[in-house]
Amino acid sequence: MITHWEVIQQVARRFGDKEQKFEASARKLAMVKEGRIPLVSMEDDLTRVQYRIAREGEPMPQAVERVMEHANFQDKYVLDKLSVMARAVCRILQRGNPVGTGFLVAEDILLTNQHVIEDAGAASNMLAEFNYELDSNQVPKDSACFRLNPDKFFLSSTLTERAGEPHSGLDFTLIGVERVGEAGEDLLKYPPVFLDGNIGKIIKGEGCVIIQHPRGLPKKIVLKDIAFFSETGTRLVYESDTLPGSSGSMVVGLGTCEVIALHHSGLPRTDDGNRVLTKAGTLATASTPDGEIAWIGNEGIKISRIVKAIEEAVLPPSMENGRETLLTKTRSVAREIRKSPVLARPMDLPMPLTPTTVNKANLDVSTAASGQEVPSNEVFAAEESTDFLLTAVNKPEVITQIEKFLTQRYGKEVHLKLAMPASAVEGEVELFRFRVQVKGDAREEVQQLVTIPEILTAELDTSLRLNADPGLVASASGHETLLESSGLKDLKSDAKDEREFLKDNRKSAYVKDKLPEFYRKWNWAATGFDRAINLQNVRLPQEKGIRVVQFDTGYSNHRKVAGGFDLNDDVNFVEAHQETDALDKLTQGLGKFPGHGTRTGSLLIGRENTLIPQEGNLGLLTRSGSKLVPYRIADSVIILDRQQQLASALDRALHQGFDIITMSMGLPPTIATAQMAKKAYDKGVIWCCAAGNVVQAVVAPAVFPGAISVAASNPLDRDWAGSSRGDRVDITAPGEDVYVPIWKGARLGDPRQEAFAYGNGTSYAAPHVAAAAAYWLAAYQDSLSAPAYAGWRRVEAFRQALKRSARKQNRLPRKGFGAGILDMEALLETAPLPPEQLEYAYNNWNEHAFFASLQGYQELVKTYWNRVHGLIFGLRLGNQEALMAGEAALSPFSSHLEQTLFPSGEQALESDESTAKASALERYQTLHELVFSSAK
Amino acid sequence: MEKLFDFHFHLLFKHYIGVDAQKGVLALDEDLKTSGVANLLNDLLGGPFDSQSSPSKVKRSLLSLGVTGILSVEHAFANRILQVVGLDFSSILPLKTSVFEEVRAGKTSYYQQFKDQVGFHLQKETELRNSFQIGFLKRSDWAGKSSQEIAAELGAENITWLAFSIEGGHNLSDAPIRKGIPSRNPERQLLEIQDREDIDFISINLCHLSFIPEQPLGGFAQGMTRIAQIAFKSEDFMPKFGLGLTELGKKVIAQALTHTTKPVLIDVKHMSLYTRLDFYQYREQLILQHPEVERLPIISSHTGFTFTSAAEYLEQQRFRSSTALASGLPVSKVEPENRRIGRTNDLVNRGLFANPWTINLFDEEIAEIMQSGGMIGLSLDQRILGATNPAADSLRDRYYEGEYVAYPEWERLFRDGKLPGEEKEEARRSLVPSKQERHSMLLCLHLVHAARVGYANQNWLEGTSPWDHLCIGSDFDGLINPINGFEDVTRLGRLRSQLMTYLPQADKYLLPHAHLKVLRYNPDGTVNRAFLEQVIDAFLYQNGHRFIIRYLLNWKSAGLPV
Repeated sequence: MITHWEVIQQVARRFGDKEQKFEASARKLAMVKEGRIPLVSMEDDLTRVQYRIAREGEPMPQAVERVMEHANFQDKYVLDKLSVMARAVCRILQRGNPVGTGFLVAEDILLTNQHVIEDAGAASNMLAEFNYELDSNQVPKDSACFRLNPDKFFLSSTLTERAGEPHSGLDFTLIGVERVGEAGEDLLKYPPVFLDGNIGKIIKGEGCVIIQHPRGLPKKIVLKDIAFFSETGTRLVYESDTLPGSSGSMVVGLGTCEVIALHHSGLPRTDDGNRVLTKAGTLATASTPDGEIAWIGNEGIKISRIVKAIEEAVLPPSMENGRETLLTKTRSVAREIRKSPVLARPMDLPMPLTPTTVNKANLDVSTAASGQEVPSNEVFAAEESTDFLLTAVNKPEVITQIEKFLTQRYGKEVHLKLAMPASAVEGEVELFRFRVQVKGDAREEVQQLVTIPEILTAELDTSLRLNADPGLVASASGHETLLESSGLKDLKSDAKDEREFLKDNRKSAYVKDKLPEFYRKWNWAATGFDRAINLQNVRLPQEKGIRVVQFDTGYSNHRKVAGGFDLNDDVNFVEAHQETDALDKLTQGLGKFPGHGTRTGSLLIGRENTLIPQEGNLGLLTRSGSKLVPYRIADSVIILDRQQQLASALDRALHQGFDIITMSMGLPPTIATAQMAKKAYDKGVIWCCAAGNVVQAVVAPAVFPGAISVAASNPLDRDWAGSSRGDRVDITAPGEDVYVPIWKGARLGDPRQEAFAYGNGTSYAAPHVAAAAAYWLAAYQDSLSAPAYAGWRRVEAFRQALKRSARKQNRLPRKGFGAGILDMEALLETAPLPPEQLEYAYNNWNEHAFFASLQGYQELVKTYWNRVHGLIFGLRLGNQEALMAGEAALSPFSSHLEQTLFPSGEQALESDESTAKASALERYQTLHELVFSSAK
Repeated sequence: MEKLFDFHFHLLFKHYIGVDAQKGVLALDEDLKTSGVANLLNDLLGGPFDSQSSPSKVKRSLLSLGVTGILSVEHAFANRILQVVGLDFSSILPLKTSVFEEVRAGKTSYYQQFKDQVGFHLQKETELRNSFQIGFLKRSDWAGKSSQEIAAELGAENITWLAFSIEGGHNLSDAPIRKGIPSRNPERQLLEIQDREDIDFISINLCHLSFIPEQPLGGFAQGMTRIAQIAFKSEDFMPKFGLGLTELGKKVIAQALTHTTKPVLIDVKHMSLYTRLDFYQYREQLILQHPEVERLPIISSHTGFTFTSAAEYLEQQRFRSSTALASGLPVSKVEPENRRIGRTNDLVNRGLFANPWTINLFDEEIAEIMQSGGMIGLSLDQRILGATNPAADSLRDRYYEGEYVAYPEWERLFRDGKLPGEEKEEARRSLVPSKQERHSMLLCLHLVHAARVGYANQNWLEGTSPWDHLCIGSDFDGLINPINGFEDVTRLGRLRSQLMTYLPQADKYLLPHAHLKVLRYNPDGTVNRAFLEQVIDAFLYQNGHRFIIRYLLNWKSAGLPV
């Protein structure tokens, strides 16, 4: 083992000449503490401040305030969090003697200093001892010892920097730990603290704590006021009391409760020859007690550098999983932060700053070249690769050929993955994905990819805004209603109380002179469900094994839907590590609107009687005993992170053999969604999709011939003004003023209160048709199970029955709303057409032309789509809209297209909000028309 | 006269897919026989083509009672069987080209194929009865009889009674084979089968050896050997997708177990480990809704054992594993540590090893099956029992041949790396099985292991024991390579003497749970002969006999043996 003294000397040699910088920072910190200069002026790195604020998840002014406040007031939960984090910390024993501290950074991987565990061999006689701490009576708790296992994972960086060795000099060791302890204990009892390699976990002047085993003593936390005040490229420098044995401790930023550094040594004052000095000014030696050395502060290795080292290390394949786990948090936080409103616009902070450039340079990989001391800051997880989706013929030789081209192009091995492996058919055109780091503009790269032989189409798999109804929770939490000033005609506010509802619908046959238990269920009366379900001989979907799966935000514990979701078959496609639980996290902040799946799901499986005040509606499938299978594909109704998540959900649903999918979220038309819609259709799955809100044009996947597309009506049997409309609508169902469960007082920290409200959206229309499909499939299962109805004919038979039975007596516009309003009673009387009379929906669909046209327009389509949805649904912050990372300028290719299509240029979009909205929407609609006219 | 029971073999499969030497119809009294190049191929692939349990062989054997499986040929076999290893063997192999051609080209569905085979069996029923003294069992024919009456009739000399099983859920698919159109209502086809009056089935395997894209019911375990896999060259033999039972799979299970008059047992053989665990759990759920399901035992009709518990295997990571991408799909591999379970005095082949692939049962499952009043048929396939290279079988690397598992299953169960664990050196000396008889020893080690696991995990009422739940499940004519000395059904007569010799050896030298003895011993330390004969009787015939009586009584005697 490397001695304490050797470490100190090494630090002195390496950083002695930076002493003046450290001293200057220390003086500045003293001034901050005396209140002579504001806290934020400690930090000279503007980008770090921005990212730090972005982590607050609040609009700008409040966030800044919070950051400032942290200096003096901490929320109590910080203590709770620290106490959980502290469990991950252990002391390292070598032949029973304590030699350092370490902490779990994955379920079974430990991080400590390389000078504590030098190499894999050294670990053989070492143990990690957890829970070595005193309880409240100061009695030592039962500790648990676990063996180290370098075969599972091992990566280290030497104490001293070595030429030619990237990431050397970081003094860390990551090593696997056995999951079962020496006395049979379970390592899972010690939850890890995952590393976040992104910038902005702390800014200078903010406090930090060190959780440690100094001199091998029971676990300690330094509660003194310790601040982070200076740094080098790889180290953070902070005040603190640590003793030998603290090497390898966890340094946590108080403001964010994230690990900011791996503690590694004290930083001693030095003479000109970089020799360590004592407080008395004499030269220190190996025998000088720690207390006599003149310390400037302590230093720790930046977590960002360790994460970067993990990313770039050459590891055996067996350790790839370990690597992936270690990087998970960094990646997900990076995505979160990029969605933050704070990053979308220039800073406006009330303090003098000497900004380093705030631009993409900080995000650029090249500036963070390894081994070299990057002056300004931590490395943003910019290694973030780009995800591409492409279509090609699914044949081994084709795949191999494309992989060869791609490997050649990117200089490292590239593998294609089928986006929907379980339902892929050999020899057919299938959707593939791959991930690679691209130098230059990824959008230009897409256009290059299609020039590769065998690649039919290509697109970027980036975040897309979702078209859904985010309004209810937002308005309940005191924001102004979102659709009010959208500049479109006659849009009512999104959440409505009962008085307004009654006033607006006083002429409705379903409302006038009715009791609450009737009019709150008006959607039943309007669709004939109330009569149909009471018919004799109704066959229950449940008994016939007909199941509905819901693609949405997942289930929740709202009492209205308790017991209605199937919690055995639920899948989470958003948080990969919790795949088997589709719980809607109901996360607030960063513009999330939770509970969408609960609202749409309630229309299918909402319970009849709950004790929630003003109870009223009931799920259409509830009485049949059906449970809804929740597939969580998005954590908010705002953004779909990757189309791949949707593809995985569809693949799973197809493989499982579910009959019906209900989806109340829309996307722009993309090549990937087109592929998915066709696949579901060909496999005979009825995919009921919301036609879309506000944008008027029908959204994907509803817009594709294979899907069942549902528009929205209101209690007057009129169209909901916000409903999308068009030739691709199949049917209309209640979507305006539908009675659904919500939470009141959904602000961060408040207890949530269960309640109901009248909501708007085609989101509510689609589940009606899903329920209708379930009953109809059950009713005609005998005929439909004939092989002649296999595949798409099953879907088509349903569509035709749906259209033939639709209620034509209504006050909907003549065009754009399909065959009329859903009529359940008539539908159940409508037998499937004979198979030979059914026509393939894609017969008049020129797929080749459609894809070719979409390939060219896709960037514009997506950009305008995101822009329109940002303007309509996005949080407005001081008249600025932003939710996802700021919109980047169009690629030259698309920019050129845009100029040709819209010669008036960009200016129109920048004048004021309402014109911007109208104009962006108009342009989106033009693009939509262009793309779809090519398919005809 | 000595009687045998065989829980799983195929009586007419070869007659359905085969032709005679002149490419004409293979008569019932003829056997499928390869010659020349095809014979070479037969040997290379472990003898899948030559008949092992044809009617004439059954007639000459001691087989008195058994279950014959019906299965339609899977696409993965049909795809290349006539062009094995890239050469066109269609003219050489004595196979009915049309069957394979129709399956390969998707001109038929598995359900149609299955019904055709059922028809073929029924059409031959009279001839089988008259010329071969083989009769088919149907519960309806035995209704109203007491168990004593049934026992007596089943035990009658000069007749071999056979029940039917459905091998593989693919038999229920009514979609054209591998055309991308899904089969959506397998449970309806099963209901149709259950409602037939001309035939009755005791059990169904949810899975078989290959992936059925048009109708996934649940993940299957890799069963094909590497050589066969290369020869047939179908990716479908490698599990790649899926995790546990699918929604469709659950529908099939529920239909099988809840039919009021003719429930069909679920045979867990060929399911992947995760799917089996899923099944045991789903069965519990079903019992809550349909208490009558509890009387229906769990079976595995032709299996081997891994000689360890799933908990030990997974948590101690007695394997190494990896995953990669090939042709756009994840390919995940698990290489289990070789597991030595005994030894011989053969200088070359000293060690005896189990087949640690997850297609074989883990200890928890042996207990689970016994607890359900179920039955375990011991396969006579050498590979399943753990034999590999016939020349030098005990010189093994640390890891056994890798098996492929579906990526999601790999992710869930086998993701983490290996753990070091030296095999314990065995100090014991002298053990006698010769090179030729090492396979008998393997079989006995399996029996003793199951009995030990049974005793260790469960309390047994007087007059019952784990030995009540074990029987032969040869898998003859199921494309297997039988263990040495038992190449076909006529050779099974030798089993008794082999068991007499090697069961005591196995009880003495089996490594896992070495302290537990499952035979009885006299005060002088010698083996109690009466008990030994009793367990051998049970294994060879009595257990199966009792089980079939329960079947014919429609499982009315719950749990305990009659």
